[in-house]
Amino acid sequence: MEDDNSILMQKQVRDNSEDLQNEFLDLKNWEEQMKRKEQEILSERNNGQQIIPPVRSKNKKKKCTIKENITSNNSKRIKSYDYTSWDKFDIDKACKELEAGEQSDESSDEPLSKEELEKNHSKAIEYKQQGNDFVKQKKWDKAIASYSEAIKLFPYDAIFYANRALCYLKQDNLYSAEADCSSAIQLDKTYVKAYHRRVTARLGLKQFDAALEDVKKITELEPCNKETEILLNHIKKQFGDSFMSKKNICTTDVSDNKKIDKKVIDTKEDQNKKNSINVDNETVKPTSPTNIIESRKDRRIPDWLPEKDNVEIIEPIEKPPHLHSKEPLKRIPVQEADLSKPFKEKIKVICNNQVELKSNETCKPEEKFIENCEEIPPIPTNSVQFLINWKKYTSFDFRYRYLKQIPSGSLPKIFRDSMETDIFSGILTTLKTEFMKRKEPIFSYLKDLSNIKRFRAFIMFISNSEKQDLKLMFSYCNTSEKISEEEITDLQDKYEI
Amino acid sequence: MDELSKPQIICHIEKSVDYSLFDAKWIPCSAKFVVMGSRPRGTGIIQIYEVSSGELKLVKNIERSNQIKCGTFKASSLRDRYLATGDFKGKLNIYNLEDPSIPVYSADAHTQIINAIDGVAGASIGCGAPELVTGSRDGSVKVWDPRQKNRPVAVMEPKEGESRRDCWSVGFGNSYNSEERVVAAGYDNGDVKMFDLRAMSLRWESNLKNGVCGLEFDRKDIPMNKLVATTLESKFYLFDLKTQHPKKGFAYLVEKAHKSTVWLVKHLPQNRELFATCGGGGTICLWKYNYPEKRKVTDADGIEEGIMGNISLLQNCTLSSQPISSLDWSPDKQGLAICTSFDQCLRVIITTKLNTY
Repeated sequence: MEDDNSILMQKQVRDNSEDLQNEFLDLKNWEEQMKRKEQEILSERNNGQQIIPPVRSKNKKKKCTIKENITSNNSKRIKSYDYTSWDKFDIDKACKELEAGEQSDESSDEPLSKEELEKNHSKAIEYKQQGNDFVKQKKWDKAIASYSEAIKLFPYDAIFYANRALCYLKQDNLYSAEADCSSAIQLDKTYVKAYHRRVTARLGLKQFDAALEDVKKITELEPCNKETEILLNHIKKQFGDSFMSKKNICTTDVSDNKKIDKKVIDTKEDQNKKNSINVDNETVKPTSPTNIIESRKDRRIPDWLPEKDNVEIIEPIEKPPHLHSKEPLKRIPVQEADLSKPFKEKIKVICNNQVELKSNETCKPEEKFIENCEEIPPIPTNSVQFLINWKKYTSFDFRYRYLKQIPSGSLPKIFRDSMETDIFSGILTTLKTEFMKRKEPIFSYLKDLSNIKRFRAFIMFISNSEKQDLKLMFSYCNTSEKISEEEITDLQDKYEI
Repeated sequence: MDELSKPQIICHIEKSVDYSLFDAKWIPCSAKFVVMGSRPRGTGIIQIYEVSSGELKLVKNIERSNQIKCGTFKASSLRDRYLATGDFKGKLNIYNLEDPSIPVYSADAHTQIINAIDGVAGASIGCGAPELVTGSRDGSVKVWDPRQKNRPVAVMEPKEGESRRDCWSVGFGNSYNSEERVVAAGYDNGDVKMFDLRAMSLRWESNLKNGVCGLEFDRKDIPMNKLVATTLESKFYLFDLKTQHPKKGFAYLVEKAHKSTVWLVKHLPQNRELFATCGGGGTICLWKYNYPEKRKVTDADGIEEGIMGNISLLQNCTLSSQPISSLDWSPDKQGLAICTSFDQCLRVIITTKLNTY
């Protein structure tokens, strides 16, 4: 009996595993079968559809619904002499009810037909325009409100989401920005701008993997997009950094990152606003504070400090936004410096200031700081990069060195057709003052400038004093650079001198 | 010995995801299923997976602004296979999964979270008009017809002034011709109500003492036969709906299971006497109902009364450490099911030997 039992048991164990094997095999066949069936269903058009009874009639429902909520009619008029009732009457509530009633009426009557959708869309586009105007004025809150309104009216347009995402980015609201970008992408899978913004947001959120994926997607969509390379480098660097210990980050690395970061953001700005290039430092500010903190950390003690020993370094505290203290920023009264007293105390105050003020103002001391460090940014590859640096550093010395590193013949490539009069004259003055002072060649620059698009337009608006300068420069070319008369007269013709 | 001849429940594929899962449903006529849930930051997500040679392939990822609680394919035809979902904000949406960016139907169904949704008469399950029913925390149960925009076709809610109980579960049944249809609803105070949609009346109600987490008719498309309701505190009730006594109502039996909340019950689409219940401890139990010899007797007054059979536990299996939030049997393959649990895992399970019952 015992033997029998054990044999039976063995058999059952074997059967069970066989069953399971069969089941798996069956599953595989079934998967294929299902795929075929699905294809059939998809290809099959609705022939011979069932006759479906009509929608439950409204009247019937009204008559019989068991526990249907009968809204008590508020239509009982309150007589004008019935003061006690009027006292109890809540006007606000009544107004709200009225509004709610209207709204629900609207929504229930709305058949959401195509025409309605189109109507909504055009309305939404108006809101979008309004939002764009706010963006130009840098009123992010109002812009977000406008875009939200547009989305509420017509939630199926990717542009609304992408624009709102930009505003969130500006406000450093990275989670919302990312979510909006995702919505935009869901609506339009080929929307490069949305991917771009999501990359920026994800970088901010330190989601490097996801950011990398997005960059890949961008390269897929736009293989010749130059910015993707910058982004990719940026991600790789950051990604690497997150593995490296903080000590290993060399100063140049950090500052490089920072520059790229700025470029990225500003190029986007540029995309958004096309030709209206008002790029100034403010556009950079929202994202820069963290970077600044980093660079300060690396430099530790700036060279201009007279005393490098007894300086207390205050480390920045990096906290995610939700952990930030809710208390208002501490005000630090700035005292008039007494020059008779030792210098040290004053510096301490400055240091404190820098740490305490996490607002945009931190940028200002920082700028000087960078100027002092005299780091020349790399050779620009497009007009935006050039403009950022040009506007940022106004000293002639810097501009001279910045121009100096640009190889001849590349100016037209950098600018293409986005040169502006003030930049043009700025370059000319730099050439005249700095280059000539240092006896550097300027002819190649003048030639390059003449090859820029819309050059003739700039020449038309040139002032008399600048014409004088130009004449001076040409004679300088002739004398010190030994350029042949022919070439100079050729160029002079172009400059209409 | 006996143990070995019983069906086995095997976890075929396990996949962990980075969001909370609330519901999972097989897409009819395919080896694909959808899972619905909520991202940690409070947005909703729908993912479509395909079972292919022992692995799960992510087919589509749909992000939504609202957390999604529940969904069903039951009210759409096999050709369309539209997914109807209920979310945390009380919105009812119907999506075409081929193009999910814009819902094909959308209604502000409730003021609060939609806890449960069910459908009928889509893919030839049941007769009559395709309809959806939603149950919400706001205490109302509403019936929707996708052909009628924005307005429900029927509303069942407490009268003004009565306390509104949280509705946890809803289900369609008795849809055997184009007129007959009932909706059963379970509430957090243990109430079970059965509404007759043809007569627009309350057909029957009872109280099970504990909140009713899940309920289901064994079949939607037959004259109602059985109803299983699962409750908190590890009990479930099985009602025989063939005969209704004017005073005693329906005959029923109670079974203890899982040693914790019984979250849900799902009948096997291929065999209505078999059903699975899922418990708070991450366990799945497989049950079989055995009919009595005679299903009704006539009592002394000449009134018919139902008789209960008995219920037997076929298998018991622990899949996860957390409650199982949903389970769905594949309508196309016997024994194949998908379940989700609060440990953020979705599992494809296989149950063998079901054809022997």
